[in-house]
Amino acid sequence: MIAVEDVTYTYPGAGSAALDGVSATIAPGTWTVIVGPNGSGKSTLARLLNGLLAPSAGRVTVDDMDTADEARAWDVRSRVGLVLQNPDNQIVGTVVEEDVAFGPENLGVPRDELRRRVDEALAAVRLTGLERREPHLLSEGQKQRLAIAGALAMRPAYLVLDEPTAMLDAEGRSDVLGVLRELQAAGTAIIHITHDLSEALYAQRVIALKHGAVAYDGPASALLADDALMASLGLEVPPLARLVSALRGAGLDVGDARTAEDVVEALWPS
Amino acid sequence: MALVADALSYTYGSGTAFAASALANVSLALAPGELVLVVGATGSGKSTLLRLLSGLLEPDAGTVLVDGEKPGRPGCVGIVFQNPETQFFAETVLDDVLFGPRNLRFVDAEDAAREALVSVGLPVERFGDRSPFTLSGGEARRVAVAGVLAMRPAYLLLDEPTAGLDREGRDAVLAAIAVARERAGVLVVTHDPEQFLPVATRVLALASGATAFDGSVSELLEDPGPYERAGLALPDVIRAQVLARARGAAISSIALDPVQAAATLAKARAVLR
Repeated sequence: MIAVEDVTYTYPGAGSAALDGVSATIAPGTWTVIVGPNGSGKSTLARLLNGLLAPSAGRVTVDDMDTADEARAWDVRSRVGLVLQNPDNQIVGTVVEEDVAFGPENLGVPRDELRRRVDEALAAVRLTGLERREPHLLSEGQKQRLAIAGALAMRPAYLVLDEPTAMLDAEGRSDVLGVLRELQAAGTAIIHITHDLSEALYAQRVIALKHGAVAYDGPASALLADDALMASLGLEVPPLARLVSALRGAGLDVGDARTAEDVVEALWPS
Repeated sequence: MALVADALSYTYGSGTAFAASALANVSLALAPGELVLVVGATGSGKSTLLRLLSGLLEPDAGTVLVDGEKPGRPGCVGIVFQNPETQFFAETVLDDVLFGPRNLRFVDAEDAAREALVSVGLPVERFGDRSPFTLSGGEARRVAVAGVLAMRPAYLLLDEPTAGLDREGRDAVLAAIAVARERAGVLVVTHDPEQFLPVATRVLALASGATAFDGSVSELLEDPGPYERAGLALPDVIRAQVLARARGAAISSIALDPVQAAATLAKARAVLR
């Protein structure tokens, strides 16, 4: 479990705290979406979860290890993978497989084991066959999946992704989300930071941040139904969710439709 | 007066073993007041088209004419690249936005910078003295857009201007585009056309470097077939109506707005009964 206990974080030289008294726990194997306006503290929270930043006050523990304990820094970072928005800033290898091997190789993982981890990680993100490709020749969606593979090679129990789809096209986005769903099904906890609430429809839980504090923590459905809270968080009800609720208003119940297909199937069964 | 591209083709690494055709025979016209959307998957040639239109690349075949001249006249075509906020260099927001109009030797450079900052919702009184490196992601994007608007381009080309922004930031960028459009032609390259469709005049969809669809928004809604066959995803609300139609629902005109779309679907279903 990751436990965030009354955490405050202030960037050096900043007048106000980026996070102020935030508490939350994240259980293994779950899917949590973190939303909130620009500047609400989402990216700061992401960096606190894997010890890249240490709290100014309060405590973050990962499976009972304190992230501020420098002696455990590598253990914490191997348990909590972090993937950032722009894949170009995260790729270090000259070819795909070297990039994926970078993390575990630095930990001194033996050669056979390293090969196994790289192959598994590339298979998980559906990049098998591109081992010797130069990363700059990959599409943006492939690059982001490569960045995820780099994190997976560390065998993390938790994977934190800070707007991993923001720079991708529809196809790249659905590939990345598909990979995340498979990873969660295989037991990895997903902590997904996003602006796009249509991506939150897959999550069991949504944490919304505002001005560095938790403004909502619960299921996506209850958040979507609360217009005032949505507006105050700068969030927009996804167009499909608006369509579904307008249909309900017109007396047509399409249930828990998540796609255009679901809507049409409910109204005109094939 | 228009930015006109005629039958553009471009191949990267031409004449080498790595030659890769990025764009083949693509045409478009952009007049002041228009908003043209360019959509397409990653690798479809959108960015290459943008570089050709701005004069950063020369086409292998075809021509680009800006008000009848070859592109390259400083300040005439403004271009906002993806994630432009990574290119700040000045110590204050105002200095950064002033860089363009000063280089163009505008006598009223300061006014141009102020107007540009106001149009993106960041008044100079509050933001002018800030370091651009201390801005939030949304504010930074808007300052970068202001830096281009301050050069008062006749044609404004934006690559994914709202990607990664929250609702407030996105609405501010959309409002700035609406203001810019009063005197400029605007071209927006995007993966996410839904937010621009209600205000766009024309849609150009690229697939593997070729034109897959080119027409008005109403033409797109009338027959989205070519768009979808090019592998482009229609927004959910539109797609629900297209799929319903494929199942025999009597839908004559497709609505963009979710509430209107619900009414359209409800009506079609009532007819069926």
